[in-house]
Amino acid sequence: MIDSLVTLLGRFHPLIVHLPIGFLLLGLMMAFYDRKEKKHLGILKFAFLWGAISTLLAVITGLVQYDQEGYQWRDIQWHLIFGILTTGLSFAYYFHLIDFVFFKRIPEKLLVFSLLFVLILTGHLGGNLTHGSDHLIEPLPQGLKDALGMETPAVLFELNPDTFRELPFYGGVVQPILDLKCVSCHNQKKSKGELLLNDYKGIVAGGESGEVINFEIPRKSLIWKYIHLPLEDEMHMPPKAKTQLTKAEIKVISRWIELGADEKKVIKDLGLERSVFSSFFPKNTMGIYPKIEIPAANTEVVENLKDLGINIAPIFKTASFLEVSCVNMSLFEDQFLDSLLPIKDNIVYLDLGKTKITDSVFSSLVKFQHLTVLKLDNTEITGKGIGKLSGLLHLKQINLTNSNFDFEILPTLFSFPALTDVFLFQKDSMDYNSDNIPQNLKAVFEFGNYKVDAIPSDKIIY
Amino acid sequence: MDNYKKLIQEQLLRNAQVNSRRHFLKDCTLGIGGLALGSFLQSCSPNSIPKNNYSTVDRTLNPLAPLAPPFAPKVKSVIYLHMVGAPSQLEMFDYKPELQKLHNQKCPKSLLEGKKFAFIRGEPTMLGPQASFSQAGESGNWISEYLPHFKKVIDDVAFLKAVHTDQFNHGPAQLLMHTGSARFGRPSIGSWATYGLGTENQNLPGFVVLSSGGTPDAGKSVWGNGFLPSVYQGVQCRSKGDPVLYLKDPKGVSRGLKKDIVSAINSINHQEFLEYEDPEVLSRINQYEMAYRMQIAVPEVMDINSEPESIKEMYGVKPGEESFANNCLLARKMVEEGVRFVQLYDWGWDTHGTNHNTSVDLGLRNKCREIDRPITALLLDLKQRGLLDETLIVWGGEFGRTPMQETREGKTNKYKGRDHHGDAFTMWMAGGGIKKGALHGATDEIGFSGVEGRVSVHDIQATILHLLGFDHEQFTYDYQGRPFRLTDVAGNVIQEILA
Repeated sequence: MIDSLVTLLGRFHPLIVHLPIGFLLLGLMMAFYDRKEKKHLGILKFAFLWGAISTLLAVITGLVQYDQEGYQWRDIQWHLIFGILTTGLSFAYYFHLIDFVFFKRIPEKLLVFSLLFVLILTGHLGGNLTHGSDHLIEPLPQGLKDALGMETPAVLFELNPDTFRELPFYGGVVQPILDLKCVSCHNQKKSKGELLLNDYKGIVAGGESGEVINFEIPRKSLIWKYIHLPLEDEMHMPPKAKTQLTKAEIKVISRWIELGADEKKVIKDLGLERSVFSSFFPKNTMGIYPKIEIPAANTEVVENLKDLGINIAPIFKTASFLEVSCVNMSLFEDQFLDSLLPIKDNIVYLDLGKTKITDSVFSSLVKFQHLTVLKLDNTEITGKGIGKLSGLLHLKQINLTNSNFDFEILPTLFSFPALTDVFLFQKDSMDYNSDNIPQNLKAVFEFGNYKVDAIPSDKIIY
Repeated sequence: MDNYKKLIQEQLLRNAQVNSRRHFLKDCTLGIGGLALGSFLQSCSPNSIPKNNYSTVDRTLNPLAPLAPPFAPKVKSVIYLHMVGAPSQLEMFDYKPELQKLHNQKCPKSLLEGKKFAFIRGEPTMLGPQASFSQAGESGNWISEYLPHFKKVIDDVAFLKAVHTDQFNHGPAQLLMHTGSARFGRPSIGSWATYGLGTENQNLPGFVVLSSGGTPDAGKSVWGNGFLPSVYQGVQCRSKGDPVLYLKDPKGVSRGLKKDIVSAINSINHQEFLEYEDPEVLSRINQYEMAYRMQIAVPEVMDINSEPESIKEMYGVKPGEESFANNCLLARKMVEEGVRFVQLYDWGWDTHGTNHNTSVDLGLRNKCREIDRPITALLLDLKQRGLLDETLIVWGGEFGRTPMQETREGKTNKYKGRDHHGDAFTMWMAGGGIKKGALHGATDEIGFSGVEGRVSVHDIQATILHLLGFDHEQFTYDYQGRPFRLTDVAGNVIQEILA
């Protein structure tokens, strides 16, 4: 009974702390207002008497809360020290005002300014405890944070798509997620709800509400329940103000609990689908394109080219590499290629199919050093001079279907450094002895000319 | 003087009468109400129309201008082959030898408990697979004798054997499959795709619909734009007769005159837009301009006669007729020209067994023959042109069919047929970003329910959007005060079939 009353008293700390802040600040403002004439001494005494008493109350409730709620000394020490200092200074100033013995000899300015300082500092440190120390920094624009050199913690957990199946489900996946999102409040130093989530032992031991894992009915586990509650719910974990678990993380933790919350079992033995983990795989954002960073293209140049009817778009929204297509410009000729030169380093995908280009484009194309996909289909290209492109280190695909490609030239392509696909299908079937192609390059060259042979059953109507 | 005093007296009295407490309350409440009304009315202003929230490109002049997706896409175009009526997975892809053993036996009651069927009443008997199956390709995936050509491309395809839907009637199931909701009013996948990505070829529609055999049960809503601006709806092209209706110049109107008319109308419409900023005015301007450009471009691309004989032979096309084969060839031509989304509907897969044509042992063979060769040719043709890596091909129906013989009104149907069944059916995808020869999901011994790797309709949609470079959870459109997405609140990308 007494215990619970004491805990209740502690819980009033966040309420009571606002009294001294209000009383003392107003008192200090009044002291400033009255600094010359000293006409309102009576009301000042009243303000600082109650200010001092409420500060004392705040300290007492604060100490109770520290004792009852599992805060760590390391986290609260400065808040506590400055809180006590505030109490001392507010009493000192009150005694100064009532001319109490030696207090009256302390200079007033020293008392007023140091009281103001410790009061604000204590309040701030207290705020850090409840809202987190990044509470005021977090909403700042990212640009400003970068300029001030503030680090935004990389809250990222990645799995290797090739080897993740060898990891223990708990140690390799679940605990790292807990470390990122839960352990800041549930650790040896600050164990909210007396729950430790920093190791398996702690999870199994549970907290003040009892066991958090229900091994018999996994879905009744408290962890399972709290992470699934809506964000608005008081019991939702992590608390609303903290970094939330992502959907994939909730799914992984739930699956772990549902599968019996085992410490040692390896992922491959648990028969889990790949999709459970896929959002933790590193994103290969560039695909087949070069994995290098280059400055974005000049927007004015791009807009002017677009006005000519050339399709230009980044390969994805934030990429600086561009995809260029002349599908709407059937009159595109060789010399137009020069207009693309200002953005040549940005172009990785160039579709010149169905245009009026000829073999002389190759001498200009050499300058597009990051070119990865080149489409020359349905053109008059014969391939004369295509060898110049062997200097393009990233060129992976060339489409030459329905061109006038001269197959005598084909061997020049054998020395290209990065080719993965060359499409050579021609409308008029051609004969090329594919034995001339080195064995390791056979898969690169696609001659097409597929047939779907008629079979007797094509004609049977049931 | 007296009069003057009187006048002041009267003015005071009047004042008191007018500025009564009652008046004060009345005026104030009305005033406050008016203020509140003002803020409500704001939602009617054109400024409240949602702007494209993920792109900075100004699309007011060209709503179909090509845009970059948020993430690196795997494909640029989609060809979606929908078999209207729901093909029988048990005669095509899902091999169930156990079901053969149970042929003609009574269906256990436990299987029927709590299930609703469109037509089956009473106690049906089991119906064994009517086709024989074999393994094909390096992947060794099973394939029915109904699809002999398809073996050739089976290693390019990733099968989803345990797709499920919660709809068991054609209309709602088709809507769910194409718009993410079984009710009317949502945009179709093709509309989402063209809204998000625009289209490359400015002389052709971004979203083309080709149908053979008939219109889907859900009507044109399956390619509708829903709440998206109407410029993003599918444009139906016919493979027989005029490809697009009302596109030809009327008698006595030259193309030059047509151009003058269109530009005059559009300049007036543009003034209208500047005044009211209604995006539907832009849709209209765009449609006039597109119709004008399409007059030349569409007949060209829709003309399959210009293709070489060998290609026509490959698809098995029938020029001058409306056929699925023609549509497959057209789909390839469209994708080659930079059309974003090509939707094919082939009607006639509703194999209930009420007559010869809807029996799974006779009529279904004919339907399979109609698609087998064209689909095989489509995949091979895209491959040889280097387009298969840039295109996603999706095949499926709106649901699957029961392992039981249909018993309509409690009586067994005349021919061998199967009822609608949404618990498990097969779909496949092929093309860019798809794992070749993959197999995901499995059904139980009789093909009644998925037991492993079940995927929902929303999972399929999430995967299509993923391959186009979108996160289906982030790709939204604000409408009626909240953001909407294709997959509503569900959907997971099917990672297992991604390369």
